[in-house]
Amino acid sequence: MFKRMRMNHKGQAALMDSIIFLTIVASITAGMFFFTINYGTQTKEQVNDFYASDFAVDSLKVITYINVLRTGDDFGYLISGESVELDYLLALIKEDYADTKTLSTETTKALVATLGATMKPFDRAYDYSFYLVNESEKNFLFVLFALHECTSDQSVCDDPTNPNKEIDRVFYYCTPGVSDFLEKEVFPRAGRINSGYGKVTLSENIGTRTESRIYIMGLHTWSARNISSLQDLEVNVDLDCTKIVLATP
Amino acid sequence: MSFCKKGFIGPIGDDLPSLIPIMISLLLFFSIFSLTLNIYDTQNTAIRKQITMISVARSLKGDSLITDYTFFGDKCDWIKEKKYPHSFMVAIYPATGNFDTVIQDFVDAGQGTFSDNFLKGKDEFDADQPYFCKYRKLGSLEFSEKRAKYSELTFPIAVQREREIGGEDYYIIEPAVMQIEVWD
Repeated sequence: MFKRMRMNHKGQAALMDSIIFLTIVASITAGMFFFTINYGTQTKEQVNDFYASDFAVDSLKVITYINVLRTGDDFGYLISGESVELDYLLALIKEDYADTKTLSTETTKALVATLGATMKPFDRAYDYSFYLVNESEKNFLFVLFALHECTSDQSVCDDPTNPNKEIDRVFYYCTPGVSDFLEKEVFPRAGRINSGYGKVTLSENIGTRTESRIYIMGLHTWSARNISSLQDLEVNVDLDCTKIVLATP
Repeated sequence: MSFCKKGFIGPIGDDLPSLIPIMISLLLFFSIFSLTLNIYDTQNTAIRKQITMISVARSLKGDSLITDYTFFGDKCDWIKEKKYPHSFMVAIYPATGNFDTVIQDFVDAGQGTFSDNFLKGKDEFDADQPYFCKYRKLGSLEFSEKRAKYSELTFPIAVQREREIGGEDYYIIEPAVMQIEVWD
């Protein structure tokens, strides 16, 4: 009797063992699978962040090195024989600050052209803001927004299937003074932001003495998108913006 | 005796139903294991390529200012000595240049034909040379558009170059773009 039972149950026991084995293997492989699909994601993100911050800091360095014409014009506009006066872009900014604490039209033009050229390879994908803000008083000398804007009829741009829509790069030069507009109205809506910071000392002449202030130079880039707070910047009284469209020679 | 043998097919035949889950388990395990190894290898290679690109770019661009072609050439020779784990090509484009044909430019450059899109500088013999640097790992194939396993990155830099403005020659610092391609 005992022998008969053992013989009949032998197959069931082996089957049970193999099912348990299958269960163990299935749970191990499930764990392995979830580990695998997430493997390297964080490291990749860190490396990408590393690159993005490198890119932003490099852009800031380039802006400080660049030579521009003191007229703010592009080199391509020059006529042969015309007198040429070259300078560093940063020198123009410092001069303007020392004289009037605002940037002149020529310097603004040169700044926009330099930023446009530096960021050109990413022109289609990114919007960005560049600013100089006083470190202690948080007072903006200027904020420059580079945005993608619909230049054809708005109804054409609103239709995602319409191939005739024209979206161009547009710059806004703003002088908002003390403002938390970027932190409150732009950054929370811009998605992932890559930032680079630098410091620059600007001096102003007060009577016979010179007073120096430290300004933070910031560059923030984000994937181009419609941000409601950046619509109709020209009518925003607080920001005091002027639209600049880069001309091509 | 005959009752005991009822349904008995043999030692293997009797265990056949239990062999099926075991085979499925082994198949599942080795499939996922090979997938894991594959993804692990792919991800590690991709990360290593990114790190190589950033490292090469940092070595080449220094403080983001290239003063002349000799400076760039010296740095290029120096980083080739480092024996990176991947092959790479680096070229500098004018910031206002044409970026639509970057891959083709690199394919051609790999075969010794340099695109006019590359920025040029004067070497010690006053000859125009494209800002281009290439390192090919031992055993690596030439860079090709059809090969899917390449990565690229772009960095803004400033380049000092001699330029004719208004009929006269000037040394000016202009924005430019450093493009890097890395492949196995």
